[in-house]
Amino acid sequence: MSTIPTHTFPLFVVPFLIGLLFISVWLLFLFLKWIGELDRNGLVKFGQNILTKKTLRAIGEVFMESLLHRKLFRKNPLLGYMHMCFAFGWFMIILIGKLEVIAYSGKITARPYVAIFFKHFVSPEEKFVRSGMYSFLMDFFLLMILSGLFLAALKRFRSKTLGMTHTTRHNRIDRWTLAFLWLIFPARFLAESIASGSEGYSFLTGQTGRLLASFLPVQQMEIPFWWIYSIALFGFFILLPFSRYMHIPTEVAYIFLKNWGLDKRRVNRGFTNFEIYSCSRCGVCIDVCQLKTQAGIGTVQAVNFTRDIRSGSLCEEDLKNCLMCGRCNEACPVGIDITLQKQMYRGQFARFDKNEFTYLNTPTPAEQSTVVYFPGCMSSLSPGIEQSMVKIMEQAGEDFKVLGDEQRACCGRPMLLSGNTEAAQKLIAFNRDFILSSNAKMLVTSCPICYKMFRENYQLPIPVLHHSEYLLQLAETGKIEMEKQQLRMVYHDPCDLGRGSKIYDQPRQLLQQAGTLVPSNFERENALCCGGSLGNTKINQASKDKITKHLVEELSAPNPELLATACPVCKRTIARHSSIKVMDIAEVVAENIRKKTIQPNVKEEFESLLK
Amino acid sequence: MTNKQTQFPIAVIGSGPAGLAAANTLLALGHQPVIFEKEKITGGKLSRWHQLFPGFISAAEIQEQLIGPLKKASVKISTETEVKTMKPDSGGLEIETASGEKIIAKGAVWASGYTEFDARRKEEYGYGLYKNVLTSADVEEMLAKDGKLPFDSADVKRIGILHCVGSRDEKVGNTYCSKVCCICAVKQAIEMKKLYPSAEVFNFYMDLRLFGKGYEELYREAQMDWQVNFIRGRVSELAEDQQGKIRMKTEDTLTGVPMKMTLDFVILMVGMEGKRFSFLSENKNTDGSDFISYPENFTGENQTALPNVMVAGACKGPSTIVDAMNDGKSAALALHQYLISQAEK
Ligand SMILES: Cc1cc2nc3c(=O)[nH]c(=O)nc-3n(C[C@H](O)[C@H](O)[C@H](O)COP(=O)(O)OP(=O)(O)OC[C@H]3O[C@@H](n4cnc5c(N)ncnc54)[C@H](O)[C@@H]3O)c2cc1C
Ligand code: SF4
Ligand code: SF4
Ligand code: SF4
Repeated sequence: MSTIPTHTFPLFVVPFLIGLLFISVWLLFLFLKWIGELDRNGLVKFGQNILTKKTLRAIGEVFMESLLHRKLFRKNPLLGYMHMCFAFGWFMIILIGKLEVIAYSGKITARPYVAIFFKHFVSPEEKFVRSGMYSFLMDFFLLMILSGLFLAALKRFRSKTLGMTHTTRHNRIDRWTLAFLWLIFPARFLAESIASGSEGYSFLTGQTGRLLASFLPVQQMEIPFWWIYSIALFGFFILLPFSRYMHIPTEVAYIFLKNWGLDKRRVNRGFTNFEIYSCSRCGVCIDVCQLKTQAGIGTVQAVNFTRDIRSGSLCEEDLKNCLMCGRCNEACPVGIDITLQKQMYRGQFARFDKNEFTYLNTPTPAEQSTVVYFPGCMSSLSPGIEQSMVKIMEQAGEDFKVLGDEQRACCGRPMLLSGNTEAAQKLIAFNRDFILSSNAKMLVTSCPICYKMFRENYQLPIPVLHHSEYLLQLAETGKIEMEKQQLRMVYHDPCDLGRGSKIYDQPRQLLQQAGTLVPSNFERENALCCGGSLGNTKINQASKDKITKHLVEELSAPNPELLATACPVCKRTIARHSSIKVMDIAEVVAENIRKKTIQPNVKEEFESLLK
Repeated sequence: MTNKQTQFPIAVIGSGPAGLAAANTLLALGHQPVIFEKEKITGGKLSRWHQLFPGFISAAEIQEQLIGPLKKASVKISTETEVKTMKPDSGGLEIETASGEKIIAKGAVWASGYTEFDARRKEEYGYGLYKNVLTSADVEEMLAKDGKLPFDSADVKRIGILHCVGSRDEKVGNTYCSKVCCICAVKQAIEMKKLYPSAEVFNFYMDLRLFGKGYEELYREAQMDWQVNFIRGRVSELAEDQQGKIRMKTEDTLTGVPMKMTLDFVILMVGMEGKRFSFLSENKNTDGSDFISYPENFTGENQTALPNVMVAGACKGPSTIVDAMNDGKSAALALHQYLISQAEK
């Protein structure tokens, strides 16, 4: 065992130490402040779960996501590799560096800077237990980081190489932070190589050192390079909290909070901050946003939203110009729930008038029935859907009641999406009372917007079914049968049904009983928004049209005879631009339903004719 | 002299009011027109309408006046012959029909008219689904055929007439005004009062565009003599109740009061839509409509990309019958002048 000489305190470690101290204190202060802003429920969860295996799960997730960047890898392998090189490589260098010092000195309590500037203190000739292996690993991970750096530089100058059409622009602080970050490892590489001189540590620094020593006066260059390395670390640490790179420490904390079960659905500024600051500004959300790709609106994407909040420059216009389609939620490698965040922030701009909806206070008691069918305002605009549902339920012999427009109010989701929670609550209360007064066993709706709302915000004691689920049940229990046609169909996933409620299979299974489904380029999680979203109150018709036209092109590409969907808004929006017929699944079912031999309603009609 | 230049005739595409007026004018100028009509019957929309605004003159009568002289001169009208395309030819013009037949003509007047907006595209009004929702064109046809509508007079208490269906509506992609539906709605409101004297009639409009001679007077007559109610507001949706009656939701935008009303039947005033023919004009209309675009320069308004083809009538944009006929005459004259100028060369 050897000891590091205690008298050596090289001055160049000072910048590094100041930086380290600064960032530690700053992060501690900030995170504690945000935790203090959590609501009671959040704090309770925090206390309850900190000592459970949820913490272990969080550690696992930090490793997979923050270090290995698994999700980003799946979205974009090259970009994932680049991030992994930096994160995992750096982490390993810190870890192995620490172990190396322990192996060298036999003590765990070495001063923090020793591991960082190890090669200054220990010359290559000094051998200790597995010193060769440590040198090799340190060189290996250094090489890994440098390869990531190479890709990062490539991305900066040619983003298309990494499969991205749009990337984010850096502000001045970001640029400086990036410059320091990029400087750290080349400086370390050169400093170590020079320190190794003609002796050499391992394959990378050793070889380079030998090469440099052959023509340069390396002896005089070592200290200046350690200075550069230390200053680069200092600069990075000092600027990090004010730059986009703040996401690195925040995401780690965010993953822990998420695993401890903190509920985003509550207005919870403490948690929101962790989420917003976890955005790495990777820009993945730009390419998936149809407002950007189709309508050329480039100021409203998730990445702009998080930036605007961080810089305090969020404006109503941008906040409300969003389809709330959730494509960015699905794409974001950090897993930020952008639409929920936007919904919460929209509350700042919502005005609630107490006199609104006063007419709702006079509910008439509902008639009793087993199934309550709630067409929703949007299905009323597409009456074919409601008619088809009635036809099917009659044929199936169901005991049902359709809630007419006197007996229901809007489900409240448009209000909620616009941030007007109070107004939404009024509507919820009205509908909820009415639905419950019917003593129904199940609530069926043909509108994905209502469906999501009923499931998430109504706390109903009875099952809520989207009509695709309900019709599939009817088909599976033999209550209805369909005639399978020679019909080529493409199915379009509505945002609130697919990404919003994870209903992908039921409509497809149902359609397959009526014809043949052919795939389009945008299916399931990856489905496009139709552009008719109720969540966007700022978009103009021309932009909407661009989005819809592109969708219709994509859906029509496989040459189907029918475009099927499961949402009245999608249906109407698509139909406006489609030369191919557009139908709701209920209409498809109703059209192809096989007539049963005895139909109660036919009998009744016959009898009334005889009178 | 001009018609002896070549043995080829002059083609008229479309036998609506514009086409028929053009054929008559050509005949008067000494040409031999032949008419191509894609439908079984001649007359265009005229053959389907009942009584025409503003003077309630029978459409059949006007059609007879237009067709009579042509018959007398044994002008050939090829029905069920759709013209698909036209291109320049050494004889003047080569016309190709949908069945692939090729005809040579000296020149042509193109008067293909408009198509009515398909009211099913405005799904929220339930046309095609609710049996008590009709279009203005349905009403004309029913009245022309039987003089009545299929509703029992004793049952009908309230009738709704919705203006601007498929016009001035960004959502269906038609931003322009169809011009004739306001006055047609006034006319049909009066006709409804005549058929159902005890019923109330409500016209829901965005704003009333009553530009023609006698239109404003007819509107006043509808209010004063026939007690027709005019309400400003766009109807958001229609629903059918168990008895098949129509429940309607709107807002009176003059008073700001939301309205709900049950109606026995509803008439949708459908607008006009055009169709583009690339061989006539490549230009797009500024309003984004598909009507055939023409040089809007006062003096050359019948011209097309082909020098010996003139365009006329409602295929250029919404128009009344009188306007379509006058435009047909103007096109015939423009073609005549062109042929003379060519002959003099
Ligand atoms: C409900 C309603 C009521 C109306 N009532 C009145 C009224 O009372 N008074 C009034 O002044 N106006 C009225 N109008 C307006 C009137 O219908 C038009 O002004 C008129 O029809 C225009 O005449 P047109 O000849 O240009 O076109 P059209 O009447 O449309 O005739 C065009 C003809 O061309 C034929 N055609 C089209 N393409 C081809 C082709 N490629 N080859 C061969 N043939 C072809 C068509 O089949 C059609 O017969 C009404 C309109 C509507 C919708
Ligand atoms: S919101 Fe997500 S996808 Fe968008 S830049 Fe931030 S981390 Fe990337
Ligand atoms: S929710 Fe949709 S429209 Fe809004 S920013 Fe995300 S991808 Fe774009
Ligand atoms: S004429 Fe009247 S009803 Fe027709 S589109 Fe114009 S404003 Fe609407």
